Amino acid sequence: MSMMASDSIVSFDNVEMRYADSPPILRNVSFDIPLGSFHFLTGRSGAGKSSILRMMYLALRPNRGQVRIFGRDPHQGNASNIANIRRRIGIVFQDFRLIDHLSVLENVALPLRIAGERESVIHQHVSELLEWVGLSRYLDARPPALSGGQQQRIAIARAVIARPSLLLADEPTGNVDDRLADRLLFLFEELNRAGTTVLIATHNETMVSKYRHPRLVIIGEGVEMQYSRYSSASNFHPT
Amino acid sequence: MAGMARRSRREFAVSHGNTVAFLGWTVGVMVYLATLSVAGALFAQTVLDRWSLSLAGVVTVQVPEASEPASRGTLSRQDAVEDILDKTPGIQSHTVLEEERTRALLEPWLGESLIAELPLPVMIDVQLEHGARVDFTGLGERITSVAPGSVLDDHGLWLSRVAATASTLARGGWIVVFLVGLVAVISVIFAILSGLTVNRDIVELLKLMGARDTYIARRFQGHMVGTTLPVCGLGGLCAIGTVFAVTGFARENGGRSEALPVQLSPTALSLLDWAIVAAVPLAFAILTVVTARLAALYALRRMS
Repeated sequence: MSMMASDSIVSFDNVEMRYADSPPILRNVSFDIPLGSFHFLTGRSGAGKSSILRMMYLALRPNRGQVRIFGRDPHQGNASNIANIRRRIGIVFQDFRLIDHLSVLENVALPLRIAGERESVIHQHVSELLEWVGLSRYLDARPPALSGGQQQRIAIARAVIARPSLLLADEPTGNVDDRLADRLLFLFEELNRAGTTVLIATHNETMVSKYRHPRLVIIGEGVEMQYSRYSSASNFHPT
Repeated sequence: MAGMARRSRREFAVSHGNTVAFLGWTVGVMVYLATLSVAGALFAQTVLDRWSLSLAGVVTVQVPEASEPASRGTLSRQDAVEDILDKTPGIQSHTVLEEERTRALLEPWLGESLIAELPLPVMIDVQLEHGARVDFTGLGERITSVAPGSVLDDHGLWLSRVAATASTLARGGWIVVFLVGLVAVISVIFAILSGLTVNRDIVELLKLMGARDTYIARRFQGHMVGTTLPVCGLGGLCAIGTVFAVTGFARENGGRSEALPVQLSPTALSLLDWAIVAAVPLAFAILTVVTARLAALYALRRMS
């Protein structure tokens, strides 16, 4: 049964992406990511994984084709429309993008502050989440004083603190050991079970193979949907 | 507001700390200059007003060689002039100034030694009736016919010159305020644009998290409040302190002269005047904060 576009949280339709005058890195890319699904986005380094994610969190516009997020074209309407959509998206950046002069607590609290949440609620939620990712001792620490793995966990905590509808993670386990990677993946699955749609871009084939979530694989300039033989058919919605 | 400023300061890197410190000092000095200019302009206006008020309806007659016989009749020149004044319609009263008071009035202008040597004319203060229209030309002619060399002064020329000077001073003061305000606005715009450039990564990150331009602009605005509010207050206080110091110095060095209709003291200004002076730092604080917000919003829209 084909997936209706209205059930897709992300929809790419014949998208082409190129930087400046260089040849396109993505051409005629079409896929749907269903609401509540969990996908991996894989491909060789430089294949365009980050570009796809950037189009999803509206930092890039496709040169051709259409990207729909939450069932609508985000670039139609005013800037406030884009801000509203972005508030529903949690992003784990490959380079973390933590603010060095802010404490761990303040970094993680940013999405809640932007959403106008009360300080007491912010402190409680952030403390609980940092406890969960094992960083409760570092509430007042500054990111440069922490290891790469710890910074990555802060970045993940910041991405999920506001319970986003869509979580986009760019190599979220790149700097952590296998045990912690499993734990973070477990966190993502927990979020997914709670209703968050998750897309993880990674080149870590070992990690991907341990899970039975469908993959979006970038091959050449296109994207192909691949399904694990263990995957539940109800999760698959090829376009 | 303080909380907002504290958080804003933390949220943006302020790695351009020197720029911000420079902006703080710049705004502080500008507030100091603007407050001083406004105080000066108001002092000038007050002096003019008091002078005009004290000279309204008053003319002065100077009679040289007053004890000599008049050109006509048997009276002395002074008595003959007083007789004419008594008979002129519209004149309410006239008072002959004592010689000591005349000396005291002229001493600041001519000096003590010269005053002692000069034969002083008799000065007669003439008070006109309210709204009276007196023919000063005719009155002057009648006075010189009995006491040649006498002078009738209605202070019109003197007042117009003082008015022109005071008005120029006052206008100059307000022009200084305008220019200083303009420079403050330009400085704030420059600081905001530089701050946005330095913090571009953070601004982009906040936007990717769904922050609206107004949220980010509020952060810059809060940062500006934290930076400029204390220096505006400090600049204003220093300026008011300078006004007190200068007027105190002027009083001790001849400013208490009888020739001035108003003492050079802070009490010369009315409460309203002082409220205007005190409002200058506040106005600058508001100006910088509003400018910061508008400049940030404009720059953020261009960044989008």
